[in-house]
Amino acid sequence: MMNINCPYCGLRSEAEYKFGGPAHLARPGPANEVSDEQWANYLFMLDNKKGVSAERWCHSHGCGQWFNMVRNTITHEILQTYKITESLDKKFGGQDGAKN
Amino acid sequence: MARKIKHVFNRRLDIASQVNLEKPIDFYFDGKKYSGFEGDSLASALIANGVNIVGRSFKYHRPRGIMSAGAEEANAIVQLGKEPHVQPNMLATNVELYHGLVAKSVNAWPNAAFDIFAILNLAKPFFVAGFYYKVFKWPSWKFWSPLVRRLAGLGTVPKQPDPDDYDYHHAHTDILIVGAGIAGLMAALAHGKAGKKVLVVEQQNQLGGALLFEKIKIDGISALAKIAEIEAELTAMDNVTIVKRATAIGYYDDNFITISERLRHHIAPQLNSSKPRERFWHLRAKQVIIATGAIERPLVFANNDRPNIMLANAVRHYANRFGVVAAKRIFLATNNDDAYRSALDLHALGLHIVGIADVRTNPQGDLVAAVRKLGITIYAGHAIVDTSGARAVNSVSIAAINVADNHLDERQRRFNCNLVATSGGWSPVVHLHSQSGGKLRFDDGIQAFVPHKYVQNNLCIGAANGVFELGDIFAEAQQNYGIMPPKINPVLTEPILALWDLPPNIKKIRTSKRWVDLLHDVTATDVILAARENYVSVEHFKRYTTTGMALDQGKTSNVNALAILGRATGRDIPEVGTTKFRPPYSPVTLGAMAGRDNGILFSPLRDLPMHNWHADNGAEFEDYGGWNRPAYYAKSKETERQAVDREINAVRQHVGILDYSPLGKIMVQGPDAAGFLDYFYCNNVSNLKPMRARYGLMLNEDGNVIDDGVFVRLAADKYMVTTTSGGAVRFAATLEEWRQCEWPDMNVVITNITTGWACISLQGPKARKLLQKIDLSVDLAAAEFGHMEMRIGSINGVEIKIMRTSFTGELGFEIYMPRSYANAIWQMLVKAGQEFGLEPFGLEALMAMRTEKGFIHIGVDTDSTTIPGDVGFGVPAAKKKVNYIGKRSLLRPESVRKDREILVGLKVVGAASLTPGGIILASGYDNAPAPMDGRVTSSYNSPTMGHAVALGMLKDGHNRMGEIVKIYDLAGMSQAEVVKPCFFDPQGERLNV
Amino acid sequence: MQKYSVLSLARNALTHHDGWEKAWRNPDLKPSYDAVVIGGGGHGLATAYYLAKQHGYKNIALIEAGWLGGGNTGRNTTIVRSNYLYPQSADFYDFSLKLFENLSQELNFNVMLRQAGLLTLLHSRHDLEVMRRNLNAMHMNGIDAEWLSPQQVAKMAPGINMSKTARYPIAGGILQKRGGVARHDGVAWGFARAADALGVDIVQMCSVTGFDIKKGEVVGVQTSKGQIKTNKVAIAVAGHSSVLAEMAGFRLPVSSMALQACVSEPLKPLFDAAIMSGTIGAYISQSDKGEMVMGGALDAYPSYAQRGNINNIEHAIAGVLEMFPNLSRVKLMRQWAGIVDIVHDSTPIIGHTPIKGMYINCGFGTGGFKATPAGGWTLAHTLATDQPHKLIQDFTLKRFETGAFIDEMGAAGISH
Repeated sequence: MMNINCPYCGLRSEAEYKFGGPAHLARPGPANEVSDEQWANYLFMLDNKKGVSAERWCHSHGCGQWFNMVRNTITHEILQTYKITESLDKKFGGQDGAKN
Repeated sequence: MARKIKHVFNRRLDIASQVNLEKPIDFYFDGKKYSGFEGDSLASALIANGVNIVGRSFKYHRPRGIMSAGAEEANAIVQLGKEPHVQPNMLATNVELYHGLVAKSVNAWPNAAFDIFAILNLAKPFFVAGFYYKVFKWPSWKFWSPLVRRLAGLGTVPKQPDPDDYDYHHAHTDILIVGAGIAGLMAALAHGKAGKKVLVVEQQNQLGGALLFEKIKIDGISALAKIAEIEAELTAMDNVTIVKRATAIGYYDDNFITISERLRHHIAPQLNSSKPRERFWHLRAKQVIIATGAIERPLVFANNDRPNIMLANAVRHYANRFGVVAAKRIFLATNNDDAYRSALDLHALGLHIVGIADVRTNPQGDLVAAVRKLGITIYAGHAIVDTSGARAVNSVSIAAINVADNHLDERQRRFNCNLVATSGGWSPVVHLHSQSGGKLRFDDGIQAFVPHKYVQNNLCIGAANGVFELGDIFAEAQQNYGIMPPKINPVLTEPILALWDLPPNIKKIRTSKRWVDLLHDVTATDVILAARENYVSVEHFKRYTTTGMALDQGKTSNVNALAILGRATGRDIPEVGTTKFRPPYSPVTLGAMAGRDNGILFSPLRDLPMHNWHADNGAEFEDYGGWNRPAYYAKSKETERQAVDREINAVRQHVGILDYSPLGKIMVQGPDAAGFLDYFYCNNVSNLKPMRARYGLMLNEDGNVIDDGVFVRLAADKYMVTTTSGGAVRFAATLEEWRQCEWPDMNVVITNITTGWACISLQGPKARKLLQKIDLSVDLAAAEFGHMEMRIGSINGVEIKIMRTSFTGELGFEIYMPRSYANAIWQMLVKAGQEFGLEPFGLEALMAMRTEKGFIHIGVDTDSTTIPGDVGFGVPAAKKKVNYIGKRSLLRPESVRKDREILVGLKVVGAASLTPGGIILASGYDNAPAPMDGRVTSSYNSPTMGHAVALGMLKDGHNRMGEIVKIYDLAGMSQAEVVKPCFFDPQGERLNV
Repeated sequence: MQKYSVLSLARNALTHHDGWEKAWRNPDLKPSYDAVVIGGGGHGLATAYYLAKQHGYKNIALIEAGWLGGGNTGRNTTIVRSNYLYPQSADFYDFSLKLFENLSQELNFNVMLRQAGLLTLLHSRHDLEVMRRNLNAMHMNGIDAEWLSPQQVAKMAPGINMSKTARYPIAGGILQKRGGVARHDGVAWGFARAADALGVDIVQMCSVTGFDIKKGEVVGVQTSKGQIKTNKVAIAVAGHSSVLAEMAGFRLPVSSMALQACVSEPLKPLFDAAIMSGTIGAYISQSDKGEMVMGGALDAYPSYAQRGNINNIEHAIAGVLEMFPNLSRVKLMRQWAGIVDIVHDSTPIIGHTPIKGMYINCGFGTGGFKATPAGGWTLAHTLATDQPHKLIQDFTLKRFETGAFIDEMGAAGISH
């Protein structure tokens, strides 16, 4: 039962949250310019990292806000939580000036 | 008084102990009545009454007696209580005695003392580790398994539902201290004085841990007095909470601990108690201090499983704490100093110590010297090799042993005795530490696994940290917390000399049965056999032999077994390693883990605003997507079908009223509302004019239809969207997720008003006339208020929204109002409707009518593969320019396949009806099995049409109109004509009124 | 291979079981193999066995990072069944069940297949309609399945909550009689022993550290015990599929999540069938040792931790008690978790990868155990012939681009 630091509410038990997939995923478009392969890459293909991974979570039984979380999928250690509009920290592989 | 002492025989020693000899208690074991005293455990009371055999072993049905005094008990397992308060598989060592307690041995018939299955003991040579993998293949396991199953298992499942309640308890604390032995209490004092919020949990009914049975003076007073002093000091602190009869059983992420607290186990069960039976704690602690003590290991020798062979600490535990001893002539066997404490205490109580076999050649510690001084014979460099005694041990044989050379002398000496106490060293209780993710290290000094690396914020102290001697525990507390050590007589001890199994040089010993896991009947030779067959990984050996997988989860057997495996494979214990400890530390009641999440609270069912009216008017309620809705309203002796037909006829001919409140209602407002919603529907949302409504389909990114409903534009920047009743929460969450994550710059506010706003639907040709009779502020004339339009107005002064819409094919109005006004308006409408023949109708009539019209029901006619084109929305979905959710997936090869399954009508041939779930066969097949071309999705009797109407999904359905298809159902084959999916009023003329 | 039988057991009993041989050897890794199977779970072991048995491969290595059967093979709740909705799935899983039915004889190792039935509970009008489709589809697919009345359910499942006022009353059931359970360890060890006897080098505690790939073609595997030359690699490492894929330079549509299970204390037999309810979201069977084996839904976030969360298992237990209220006073003995590969359509991925000579078996989600023999059979065929076996030709990676999914969410709706 992880203790997750919601950027809006503070530390709350995992039971209040739901996981929502990888963070910082860019939605390709317009539709007719996207190949089947690109679309499958966006929709289904996953890094599924064993180790440090950037994820989207929602404080669904709390403030209802979505946020990003850097988490170790082996130890469940939470390294950082940050607002959805903020970019991934460089130390976790984020890039300068990258948004979303 | 004298009478009572006579009654309990001399196993109850005439000494002061923690049982109250003034308060006798009657109890029953295997049908016989016995007597014990307040303060007894069931185990101590059984010992006092001379009950040697308390159970039968798992595989061989060997007679077994009490072997420990705590949670590590592997033999004394009982079925406790009478229906409905039965509790299977309770440890007699953990059960506190109460008046009228009833216990029965398990795995024995008719009882433990005379068990008919003891015959299985003869099959011992065959029942070796993993033998069942080698045999029972012919004719099949299915043939043999019923026999095996009957023999397996311990207790029996209660025959009646549980009459008791259980609660969750959620708590936070700065410091959790698990175990209130002296180490835990010192830590509690330190943190308590520092002002921390401290929670102490103790599995027993008293604080003190091992000091409850040790004859030690601390600061000049008895250990018990010292404990009482500390308890008083802690109790006086407001920031310290002590919970007894509570076991921390699970350690999860981020210092989340589960605790099983037993509130009523120690009192006679009764019906209608106001207290829950157990409380299941969910605790988050900033720091967890694990002071769970240690468990003594038995020594391994031939026939070491006989009744009255016990752990050395247990013998002195029973004597000192409960004043009971199983027998008078005691032989001890050890490889460490601790067993000498038992010798000293038992001797002091006047019991006869026959001798002590110590595998160490020259033990010289303080305790050994004290024993020697009493004239007790110590057989240094000796080990017990075998025992005898049919119903309890009556002799032991010892032999000289050279542990370094792993050699046993041929010569044996035999001693008569009727109680054997053994100590093979102590294993720290590291379960919680291991569960926390912490690592273990094998400590050569104490020959046991000790905590090594901490992953979470926790700390093991005292015996749980491998610190066994009281003086060392005080020193540890001083180091950790700066507490001045209390005064005690220092005891100098010598190290343990590990002996895990007897040397193999004598064949008779090598091939003997030397129990390692008493509860699962695993012997040393089983472990060695596993090694021989190459099941050498610790997990393989555990699974192959089933060591440590029984009720006790290997508390006394794991380390011995690992060591024997190591020796058999030429590895030392650290190299063998250990398996992970899994929760729970000790078994926990399922009811407690479920808490109050049962019955209606397991998954709450929502009632409608007009629930009471429906109930009063004959509604048959059913669960539709989590809402408790009327399926139909039965009048007097009507069948379901008669009721539904009547309701349909009322709507088609007059007017019907429906409590439509579960309809999902979501407000989407803001300057970007129109553009935002355009992303969620496969048809256009933003070009809708104010006060107009449109039906639309919502997709997921995979292109599949996930919901449908009418959306209304209330103003340029304001929409109300409706969803299926089961989909409201999900779709509101979907809107919110995309708004926050994908389009955070869009200025939109989303509000789910489903439960706040009720909806009453009036459907039928007389709906308008009815509404014109009431105080409604809206002009309902057809010219003024067209189909799929909305108006805002009032009924009797209550602001309402009214939409002209229809899911039945009839003239229809939906009235939306705050839930609190709904009942009054409903009753007013019902009254006003009398003259128009108004009838309330339920979900089944609704479903039949929408099927007559060919309107789809999401999740019934569609499934998770349906795309818009399958249900007639291909053209708008393709034309729409916006990159709406799911659009790209509609371009995939599978989505544009020409022969997809599409929605069709099915007109049954002959009088029969179709069953939803019927499968449409591929052409050219007459019966199952066959390739599938589609299925029947909805089918209802249609009083309107005079025949059954059905919808289905059919492969290449567009090109198959008029074809007769064959349909398989369990009940039989049918045939149907493929028609357009609309049976009634295909032109929609009935709406133009 | 030393034969296991009543006779050999009796003979060995006379010699105090000193005569039993190793179930498998501990060979050293050779520098080159005709094929390397990665993953010593049931699927990998079955792949190696059928490669040797059906396709005549003589020089195979099977490498396992931990110990045989230590992943999901040793952590699942051992249910076997073939009650699937779509013909591709039904054909595949029923083939697997048929292999299971002869497996103890085939491997000379009792895998303890007990076909006491798989009973799916139905609770509402909606359940009856939705599951009627499943039942009829099973018949169309040639799978045995029976429709049970509430009374028949009560008879099969003593103690089940037949109260009309239950939150989820019993409206009926679907029974697959050939469904049931098998002993998970027995399956792994049986395949291991038989594969070893056919010359497969089984090397435990040997982890893959990388692949040698030249011009899109695999030429070797780097391991913690040295480098192996090979141009045929089969990967069957459920839970860790993405980790291996990343080493080979491609991604998978797979998410690794924890699936929990738990057992109660051992009890005298209550019922024989494996019983599940998708609506309640829980399932239960009673093992031959008498333990109630229980489980529920996934812990729905990625994890490689192999341990579960408490609130999820509490909900599963509450669900079991909705079905069997009399179990309330029974105690939980052990709780654990496995890491499973979750894919979009609950259908596995078996066959070719973007790397030539490299084949994969992954994505079985929560129910891979029942597919163990067929997963091995079809992967072995695909590797040996470089053509997808006909039972798995739709189980490709390509379907994630074309959209030709086989959506078995209904059949796999709850996790086992």
